[in-house]
Amino acid sequence: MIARLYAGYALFFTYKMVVEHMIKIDNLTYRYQADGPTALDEISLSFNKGDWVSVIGHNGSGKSTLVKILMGILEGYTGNITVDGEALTQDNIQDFRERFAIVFQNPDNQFVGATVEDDVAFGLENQGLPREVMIERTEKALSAVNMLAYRRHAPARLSGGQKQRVAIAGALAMEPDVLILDEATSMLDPEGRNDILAILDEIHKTRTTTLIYITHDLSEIEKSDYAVIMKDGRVINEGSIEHIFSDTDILIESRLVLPYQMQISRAFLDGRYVTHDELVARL
Amino acid sequence: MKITVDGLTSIYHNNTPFEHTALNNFTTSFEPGKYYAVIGRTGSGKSTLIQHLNGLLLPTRGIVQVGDLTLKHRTKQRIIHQVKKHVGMVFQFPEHQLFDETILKDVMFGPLNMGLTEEEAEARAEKYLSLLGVPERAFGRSPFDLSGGQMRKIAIAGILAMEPEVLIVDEPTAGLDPKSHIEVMDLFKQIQEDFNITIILVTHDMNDVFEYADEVKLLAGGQLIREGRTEDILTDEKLLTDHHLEIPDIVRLVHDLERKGVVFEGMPRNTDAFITSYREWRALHAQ
Repeated sequence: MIARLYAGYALFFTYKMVVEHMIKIDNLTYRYQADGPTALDEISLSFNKGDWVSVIGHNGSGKSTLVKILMGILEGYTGNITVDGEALTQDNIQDFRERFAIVFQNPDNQFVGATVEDDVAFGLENQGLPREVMIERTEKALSAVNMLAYRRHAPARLSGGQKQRVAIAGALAMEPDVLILDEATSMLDPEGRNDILAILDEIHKTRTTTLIYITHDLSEIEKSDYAVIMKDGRVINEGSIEHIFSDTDILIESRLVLPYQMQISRAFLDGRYVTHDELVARL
Repeated sequence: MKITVDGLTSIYHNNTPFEHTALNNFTTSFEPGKYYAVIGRTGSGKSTLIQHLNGLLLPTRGIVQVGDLTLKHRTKQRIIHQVKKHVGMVFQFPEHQLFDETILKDVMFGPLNMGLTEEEAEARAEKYLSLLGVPERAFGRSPFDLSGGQMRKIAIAGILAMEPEVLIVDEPTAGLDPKSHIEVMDLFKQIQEDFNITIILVTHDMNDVFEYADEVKLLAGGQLIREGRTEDILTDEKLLTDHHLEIPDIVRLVHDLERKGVVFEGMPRNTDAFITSYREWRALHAQ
């Protein structure tokens, strides 16, 4: 018994040593106006390297404010943020921004190039890379999102889902440590949305990029390692997907809508997390 | 008000190298007071079709009959203007069209534009804002101080205040959070039932189609592939898959359970109805 406990502890400490925090946030508080309400209220979070973390909340919960602070768009917060073990300050934020890439909600607002490949290469042009490296990275990124065949197409003529795939390729070509997706699927049709989720799943398998996935849709978080639920500027629950769905009351109070299989699980099973197939097996 | 589409062909950039036939010899009709969904993958002709129904586009060939008004290749602006009074359109992201300084004035704009007096327009605006649950104390506030979901409701109130007999809604929930999504979809159903308005919904969300629509029109390549009752078309898994459309979650669940021997009498149309059906099935089989 004692030996088993000891082995458990040993495993725990090994895990702690191996897993490194990509981003660590301590007591982060932010107000848009000095005397206004808190948009973020003493948030503490950590994101492990290579993890896919979903941040979920209704409109106005603070998730976009958090992204803007991480991207260096908003200043004047209190609290500490460390990135890869180093504290983020006004002096070094520009260096860190190059290690972060973001894909926004609206597929129409993020293109500058005349062709798909120009667009993907655009972000690389400021990095002083040799031409061969730029071409190689562009091709690799477009292959990762299944858009290499469209390299000479004009971005404006693509579907919404294809545009978001190109936007992801543009982000991947920068080889960022952290890729943030800010409601990147919310304007897409279901086919486009499923394409994006499948691509993220492939990126996730490489464990080279930390994915921060911002969403208000609980049906999109199935593949994440970790999820954070935000409400009114606070983190009200966090943990594995199983843990998040073990307290569905918190989710409902947070103006979120449970996926159909969870609503049915609440009515007939133990209310715990189930997939569609598990639900069919247990009903 | 009945809409009949007869032999409608719609060609963009006719007689140019960019010529593109978006609808080809299209014939269908929309009965008064019913809830229709127009479905099909991107590029199937859905958006072109609905733009013909309120005169935003005119037929290259064929006719669109709206009540006793006829839209043809060279129909005059005067007739088109009449059609627009009867057929209202809620575009994608309607909140982008808000412009006035107060919520009340914004909703009054449409009725005033139709020729109603200031008092009549104000009465209409108050009626539809109240219907949407906007409290009276908010009428004087700027629409731009509201959340995305609330702004969209104000924009919808502006269309309703014109009291159209047919309301076309194009992807009305895109970009909304899930709670607002449900509120907006429930609202259109309520309008259809309370005012006996025809609703024509264009969407990619098959769960919404299955829950709300009475009838479905499936388009592909500018042609009508199938039309009929929602429960017949949206339960045809092969048809949906062939046209790159999702199978509604509840349909998939019910079909999977049928293979296990759990068979309901009717097909539930949403999650709540499923829960009721399954509870009844269990009670019946416990004996």
